[in-house]
Amino acid sequence: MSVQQKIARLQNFIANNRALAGVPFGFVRGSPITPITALSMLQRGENVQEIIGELAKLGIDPPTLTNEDWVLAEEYYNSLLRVPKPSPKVYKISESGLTVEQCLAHIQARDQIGQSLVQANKSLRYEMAKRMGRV
Amino acid sequence: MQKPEEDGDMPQQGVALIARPEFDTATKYGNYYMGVAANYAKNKIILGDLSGPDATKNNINTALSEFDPILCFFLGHGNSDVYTCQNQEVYMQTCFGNEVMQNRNLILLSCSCGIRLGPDTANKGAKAVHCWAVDFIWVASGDPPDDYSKGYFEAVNEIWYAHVDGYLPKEAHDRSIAIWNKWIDYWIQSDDEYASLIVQHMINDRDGQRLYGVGDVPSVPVPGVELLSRIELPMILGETLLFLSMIA
Repeated sequence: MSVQQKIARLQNFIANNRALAGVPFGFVRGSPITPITALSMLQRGENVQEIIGELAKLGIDPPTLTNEDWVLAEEYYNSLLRVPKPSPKVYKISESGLTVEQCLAHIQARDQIGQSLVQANKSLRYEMAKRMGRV
Repeated sequence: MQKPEEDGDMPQQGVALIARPEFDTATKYGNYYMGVAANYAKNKIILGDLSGPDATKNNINTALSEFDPILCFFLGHGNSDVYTCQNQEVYMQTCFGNEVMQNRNLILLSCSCGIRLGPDTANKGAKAVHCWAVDFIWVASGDPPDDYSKGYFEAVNEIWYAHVDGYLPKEAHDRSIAIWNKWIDYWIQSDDEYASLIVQHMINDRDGQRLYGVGDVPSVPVPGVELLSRIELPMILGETLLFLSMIA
C-alpha cells in the first residue's frame, strides 16, 4: 500500500470514527501519536516509516499489558485532562466514581484499578485496528 | 393466594427474582437501571424485586425457597470468586453457596464473576449464567439516567428483556451484544470530548460479557402468557419481600 493510500485510509478512518481520532496508539521518536497527528505527519512526509510501523503494530500487541500500554493509557488520560468540558466519572461495580485525575493517578501508580483502565484503553486500540481493517 | 405450582426439580418458568442492592454510588446506578428492568417485566411475569436494604442474603434465599424463580438478576460488588449483595454481605462464592442456582438462569452483574464464580455456578447445574470476566466499568455524568451511562445498562438489561420475552439464553446474550454494538457505533461517531472514554469501557464490558451453561430452557414458556394464566398471585413475604404479580 502506498503512502497516499495510507493517507486516504487514515482520512477515511478519522471521518468515520471521530471519537477515536485523538486517541494515542503508538510512538514516534518517543512522542505519542494519534490518528490525527499521524495523518498530519504523513501528509508532511515526516517520520513516514516510523508511522507506518506503528500503524502496522496497531492491534497485534501481545495479550499481556506492556510498558507501552501503560504509557499510552497515561497519555490518553492526560489528554482528557486538557478537555475544557467538566469531566464525567468512571465507575465500576466495586468502586465509587473516579475522576479523570484519579484514573490517571491509578495508572501512574500501576495498581489494580489502573490495570483495568489500561486494559480498557488497550481494547480501544483493538477497536481502532478493527475499524482500520487490520484485525 | 398460593405459591406457583410445583414442577419436579425445575424452578418455575415465568417467575423471576431481582436483587438490586443500593448502598453506595456505584450500586445507585445499577439499582436505578434494574428498576427500569423490573418495570419492564412486571406486566409480563411474576416478579420478586428486592431493592436496596431488602436485597439481603436471607431475603434472597427466602424468595428462592418459597417461589423457586427460574430467572434471577443479581447486582452487587464481587470478584472472581465472590458475589455480594446489600452492604457487601457475601451471598455466594466459587464452590460455596452457588448450588442454589441449580436449574436456574442467572444474570450476575458483578465485577469479574465471569472468571471463576460464573463457570463454577454453571458446573453446579445452573442452566445459564450471564456474567462478566472483567471489571464492569461505566462512565457517567450526574445522577442516573444520564446520557453517558444509559447505554451500558441498556445493553445489560437487554439480557433480562430477552429472557422475559421468552428467548433462550444464547439469544439473550446475542441481543445484548447487538445493543452494545449499537451504542459503541453511536458514541464512536460522536463529537463529544469524552466519547472515546465511553467507547473504550463499552468495548471492555462487551468483550468481557460471558454466557456459561447449557442454556436450553427459556425463562418464560413461549408464548409467555400461557403459564401466567395458570398461576395465582404469590403471597407477600413480610415487609421485606414484595412480589409484583400481574396476569397478562
